[in-house]
Amino acid sequence: MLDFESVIFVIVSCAAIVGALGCVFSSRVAHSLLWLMFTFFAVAAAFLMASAEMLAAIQILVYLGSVMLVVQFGVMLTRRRIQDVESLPTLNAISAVSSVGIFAFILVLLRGMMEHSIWDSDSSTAPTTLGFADAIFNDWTMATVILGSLLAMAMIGASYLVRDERLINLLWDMGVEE
Amino acid sequence: MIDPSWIAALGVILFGIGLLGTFYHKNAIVVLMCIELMLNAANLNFVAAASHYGDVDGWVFTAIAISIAAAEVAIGLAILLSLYSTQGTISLDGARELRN
Repeated sequence: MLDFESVIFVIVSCAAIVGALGCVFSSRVAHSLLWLMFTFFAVAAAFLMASAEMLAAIQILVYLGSVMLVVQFGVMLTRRRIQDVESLPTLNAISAVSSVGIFAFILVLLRGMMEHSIWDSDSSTAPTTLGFADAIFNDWTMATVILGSLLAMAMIGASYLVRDERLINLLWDMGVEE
Repeated sequence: MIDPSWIAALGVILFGIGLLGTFYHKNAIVVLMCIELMLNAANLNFVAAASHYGDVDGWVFTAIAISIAAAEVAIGLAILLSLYSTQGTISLDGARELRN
C-alpha cells in the first residue's frame, strides 16, 4: 500500500504542519519567522514531489530568499519589547473556542475535500517545466506583463510609504547647505 | 508521482493553521506571516489540481500568486513601519488612528 514516495510525502507533510504550528504558537516573533521558513521549505519539497521543480525553485528563491528577508527587516526595525511582551498570544476563552472551532473546520474541510468526486477520475500525467515556460510566455503573456508593472508599482509605493519627512533630510536631499 | 488529493489535504491543514494564527496573535507582523501561510496553502491546492488534470495553468496561477505575495509583503511591511513610526506600536489592538 504505502510505497517509498508516500512515506517521504508523509514525512514532508508532518514537517510542514509542525513548522506551521511552531509559527503560530511560539512566543517570540523571530522564532515564528524561523518556523515559517521551515514550513516553506517543506512546502517546496511538496511541490517537488508533485513534479513541479520550477515552482519549488521559485518558492525557495522568492519566499525563503527575499520575502522572509524583508519580514526579518520588519522584525528588526520594531522594538524588542514590542516583539516579546506585547505580541504574546491572547490566551483566553475566546481563543480556546476559536482553536476548537478551527480544528473542527479543518476536519470538515478535509472530509469534504477527500470525498469530492473530482478525485474519482484517474490523474493524468503531470505538466512539464517546458510546458510551463510555454504557457507563461505564450498563453499568459499579458498577465506576466501586468504582473511586472504591478510589482514595480508595489516597490514604488513601499518606498513612498517609508519615506523620511524630517526637514534636515529633505534639505540634504535638495543639496541645501546649513 | 504522489496522489494529488494528499497534496490538497496538506493545503487544507496549512490553511486552517494559518487561519488560527490570524485569530490568535495581535502582533501585526505575525498576522502577516500567517497570511503568507494561507497563501502557500492555496498554492498547494493549485499545484494539486494542476497535477491531477495534467494542465499547466495551475502552475502559472501559483507563480502569479507567489509574485503577488511578494508585493503584498513589501506593501504590508511598509505600512507597518509607517504605523510604528507614528504610533510607536504594531499591536493590532494599539493602532487606533483610523478608528471612528
